[in-house]
Amino acid sequence: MLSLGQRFSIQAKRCLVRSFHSLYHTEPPIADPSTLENKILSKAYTDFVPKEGFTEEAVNHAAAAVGTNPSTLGAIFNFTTPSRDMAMELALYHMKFARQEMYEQNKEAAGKMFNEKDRLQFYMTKRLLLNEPIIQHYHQALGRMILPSNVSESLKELHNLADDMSYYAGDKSTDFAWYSKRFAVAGAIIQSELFMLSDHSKGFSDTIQFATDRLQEVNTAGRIYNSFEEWIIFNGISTLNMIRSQVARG
Amino acid sequence: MSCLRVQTKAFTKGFSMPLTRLFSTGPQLFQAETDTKFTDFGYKQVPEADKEKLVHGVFSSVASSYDVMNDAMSMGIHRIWKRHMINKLDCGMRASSGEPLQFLDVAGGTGDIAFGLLDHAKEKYGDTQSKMIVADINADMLKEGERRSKKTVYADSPRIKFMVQNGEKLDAIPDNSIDVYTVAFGIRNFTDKQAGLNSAYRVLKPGGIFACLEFSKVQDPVLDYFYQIYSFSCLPMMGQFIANDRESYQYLVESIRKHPDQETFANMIRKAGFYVPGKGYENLTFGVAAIHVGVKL
Repeated sequence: MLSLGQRFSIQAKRCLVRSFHSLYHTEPPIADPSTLENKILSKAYTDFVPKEGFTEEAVNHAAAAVGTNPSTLGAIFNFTTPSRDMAMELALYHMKFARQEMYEQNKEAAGKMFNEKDRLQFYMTKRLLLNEPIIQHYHQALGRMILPSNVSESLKELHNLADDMSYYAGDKSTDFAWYSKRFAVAGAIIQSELFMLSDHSKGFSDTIQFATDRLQEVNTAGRIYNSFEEWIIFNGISTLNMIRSQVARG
Repeated sequence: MSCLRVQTKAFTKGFSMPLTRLFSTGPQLFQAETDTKFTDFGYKQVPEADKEKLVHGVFSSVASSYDVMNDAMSMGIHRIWKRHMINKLDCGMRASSGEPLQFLDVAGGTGDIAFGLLDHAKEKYGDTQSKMIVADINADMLKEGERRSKKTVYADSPRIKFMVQNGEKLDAIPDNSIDVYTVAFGIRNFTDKQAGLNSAYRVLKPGGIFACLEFSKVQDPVLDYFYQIYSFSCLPMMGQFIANDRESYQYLVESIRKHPDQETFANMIRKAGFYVPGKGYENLTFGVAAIHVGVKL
């Protein structure tokens, strides 16, 4: 039996686990390859998605290939994931895997860039290009993720992606901009991915241009917001001082 | 918080069987039989060799009123737990697979889980081929299940087999022969729970699923306090009034209290060799019961 002190110290430790993602940005494996669930999904993702798309059959075939029985797959997944939908799990696996690769493959190149804007741009491009191998089936994954029953999990993953991008780009904001940046980046990701579905240009150059424009808009919006804030504060103080001076004259 | 825990302890102790003998011959008596191994039977310590017989006695005496009592004690919730486990396991031969499943329901005397699993497989996946073995150590409970199966579509079906088996050994079940092993409210009564888990590992095919529904520890100390009051004061009384058997139900609540908590039990499952997905269990009704799963790799 634990003493009361021990109990509290355990609870205190639990509190330390990040609730605010980027304040304690630990880096556990995002798609942990050691778990059986991820072994099955990874097999499905690399071997079966290119042929069969983001479908339950792809997961079933992968389960058989890994040595588990597709007929009892529910028992392996349902106790750890809320979706109870294998195609959704596969779509989420793509999101996690690509998010992990986006950072792992490019952290050194990104480290050589000087400003936040370029790094964000760079990560965004790399992340979009990670959709390339599965792009002809990607509409299935997006379709799964926006089903009402799956939408909360999808939004969580979208937030994680926007957060990782902003954090690795070097975002150090400690005010309300923390939220607005992530909202804006998430919006840019969704628009660019939808654009990418119907993009037939070579090397997805149109998509990359589109994403660059969206991020440019985010920056412009940020500058407008900051300038507006500065203008309001200046005028506010001036007005206040003017009133004061008039009152003091009597 | 701490004073509450002390109260709980005092309370449970007050209602339990005396743990130690107050007269002085006790220790000498134990000394004389040092090679006998003891195990818990509720709060009593009994020689390991005797527990099986004692548990047998308990279940033989409650067999006929087992379901009425379960409904009364859990206010019907045990049916929801069982249904929940069956839905979550979501087993059934997939149309593309063509290989029927072999289920084994241990300590499944009354057949609730067995019929439920087969029904689920049929309703969701159109599976009418998968087979079921219902094993129970107690022939009286098993007879109750057989009697009940006559009223279902599985009456005299070759798909369902009833076997008197000790869950710790499963002598008649060959190695690597089972796809899904379930045990609902049974493993608590095993003399050697680890041996039970090891046999489960033995009989399962690689990739096979182990699932266990069992009473567990209520996680919230305040709720646990009220749960202890309910179980130690109301349940034996209900046993007395409804089934006319106070002792059996006194054993029931004590054995629940003695059963390892969620984390400990999940570790026992790991120790048997299973891979445990995530934290390995799901609490039901604040942890009054928990579902544990394991996968044989």
